[in-house]
Amino acid sequence: MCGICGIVSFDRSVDADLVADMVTSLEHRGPDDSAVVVDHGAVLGHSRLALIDVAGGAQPLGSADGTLWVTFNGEVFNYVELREELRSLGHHFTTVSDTEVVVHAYEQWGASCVERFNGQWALAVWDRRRRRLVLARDRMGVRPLYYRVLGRELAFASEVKTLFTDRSVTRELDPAGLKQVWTYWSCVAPSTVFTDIRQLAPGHVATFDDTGLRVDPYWSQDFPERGREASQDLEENAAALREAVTRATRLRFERSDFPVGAYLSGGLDSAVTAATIRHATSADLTTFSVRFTDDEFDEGPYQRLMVERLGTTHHTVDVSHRDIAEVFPEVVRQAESPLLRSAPAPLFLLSRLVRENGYKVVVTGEGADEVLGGYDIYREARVRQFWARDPGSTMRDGAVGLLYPWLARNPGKAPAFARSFFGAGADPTDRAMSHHPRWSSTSALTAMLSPALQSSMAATAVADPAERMPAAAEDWDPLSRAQWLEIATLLPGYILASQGDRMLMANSVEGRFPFLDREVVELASQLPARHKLFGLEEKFVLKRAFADLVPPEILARPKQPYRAPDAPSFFADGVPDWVAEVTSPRALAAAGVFDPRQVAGLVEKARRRSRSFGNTDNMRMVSVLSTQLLHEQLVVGSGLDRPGRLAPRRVVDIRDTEEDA
Amino acid sequence: MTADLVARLLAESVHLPPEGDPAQAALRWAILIEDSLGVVLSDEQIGSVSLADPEHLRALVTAAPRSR
Repeated sequence: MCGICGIVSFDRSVDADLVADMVTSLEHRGPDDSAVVVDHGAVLGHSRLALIDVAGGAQPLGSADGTLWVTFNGEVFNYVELREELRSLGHHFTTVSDTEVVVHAYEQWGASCVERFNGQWALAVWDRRRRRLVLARDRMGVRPLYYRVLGRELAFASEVKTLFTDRSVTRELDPAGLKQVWTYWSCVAPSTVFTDIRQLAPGHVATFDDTGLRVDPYWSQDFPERGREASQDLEENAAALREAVTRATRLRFERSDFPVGAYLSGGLDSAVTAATIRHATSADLTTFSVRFTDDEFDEGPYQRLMVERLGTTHHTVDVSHRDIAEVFPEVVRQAESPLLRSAPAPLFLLSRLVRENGYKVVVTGEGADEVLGGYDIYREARVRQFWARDPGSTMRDGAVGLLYPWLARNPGKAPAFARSFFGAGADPTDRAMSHHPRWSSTSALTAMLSPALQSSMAATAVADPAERMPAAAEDWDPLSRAQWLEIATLLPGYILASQGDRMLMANSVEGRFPFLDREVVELASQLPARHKLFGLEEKFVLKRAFADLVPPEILARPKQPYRAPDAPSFFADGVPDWVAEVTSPRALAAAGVFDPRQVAGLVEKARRRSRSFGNTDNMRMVSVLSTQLLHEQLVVGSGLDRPGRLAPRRVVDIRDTEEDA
Repeated sequence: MTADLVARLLAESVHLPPEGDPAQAALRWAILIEDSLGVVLSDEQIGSVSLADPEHLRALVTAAPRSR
């Protein structure tokens, strides 16, 4: 994995030193090499984490005739097959890197080449002949890509802090972006929480030339009409899924010049990917897990079960409240967004463990919940539909007890109340019916914002993501509509960003996600909804497909979402100095985001009894701390940790070469 | 709803984990049946629903109103 950046201007020459600074800001994403390519009106930068073809894969990489230059972050896992196809079309290769395949693929098929890629990437192609920059991002949004347009100039980068290297860029929190975070948990592309910064949406290609910027989709999530799915046969679908997941896992495990490890969370998804590696390859496997010293969150016994079954070399990091508090400022600096949960922090510590053990790549189970119906929000929606079908039925009240048996405060103990809470607004014709409870409870956090920000937000229209759903969604199963929303909002904005790319790349580790393989995603979307969520049994077909590889204790285990202690991390075992600093009246006034009186009350409450905080207070507390840290680090500061680091190792000046060679 | 789908549902349901509480099991099955077969069950039918008796299930689904 790597970091990419660059500037293209149709008005002036580009400051190559500025792009060099941008490259150095991405060093954590690619510590193995770095370079800039300087052209008239364009400079591309790259910091490299070398995984494939260490010798030949240096970037930015040019075409043989020098008319195309590519800076590329990520992997195209089917690059071997594409290279063969391109060879048959007359292309000659001088390296065995996937980046050279990207160069030739663009030469052959233009920007539509991305439709043939199966992988996780963000890339930029500087097409010298046509004087245009092409940006593209993978289908699911695994890799980030931010940009800023100012007149006839565009700057792009893997991270926001890289764009802030240019001191002329406004560093300011955007009320519209914040409103999205406090509704959907994260921004929805193209928005970000920063006024002048945009992000390319997953599955989109952007073209920037002297006529301006054009952004087009090249892929979108699609589902069949309910009842018209290709196969209704569970065994047939389970076999197809197993084949696809196995192929996807092997691609991600085997296509690397360095050893690849695997995460084991204790849940089903990472158990499947790790077991598949052991079953489908003859390689030794090293696995990594987070343990929590707080028993409420620890999944150690299930991790141990898998380790013993697979015989892996296993490493764990034990995470305490204090550990989370200690790294949280760095976690926010890397996430570049307000957080509602502390959950990214243990993942930051986990990727550090991976790196300390000499690994640069891990396979994980991310994406299975989204594409195969694993989340509680899907089960919750199904229960709400069950209630909505017969509002007068008292027998149906008891269904709430089926939702969250793992919660100590089981809402099933007060079924009528829980039904009135969860069941509100359960209109089956509403495309966002599944997500309204989450969005509504999250937006309640805005009550603690400063009056000024509340006014700004009230004046800001934020588009409902459900409005972007295709017209055909009316005929989809309700589960498909819920999946579409989850894949459009939380997956790229939070799961793959704040919990994924950012926490991995902060320690120079690449995550690879078999469940987000193109073939797996497209197969999963075509399955009947009941094969994903069978009544309330989540990931039904996945469990069937891998029943022989995963221990029954894990197959039968009720779904437990990955969680970490929130407010107690910052208050239960001592309060770090930075908490007092960022919640001080001075810091709160400087940021202008929160109502100081409410924050003071919340902090006081947390000091007394953070362990008994409910969901809303936990989200409030983490929101305050993360947003204040974000302001301090990326608005007041530039987000750079070590100013004055080494310049890129190579500078390639192509200004004297022909553009139409 | 077709007889084929009822048969599939019954065959697939053998892979469900056992549910100890009969009342909870009935609710689970009712959610599954309503969602998969597009019917609405009365409280009385929910109380008597069973995936172990194919004939009973077929009769119940045939008699129940459609949800849409």
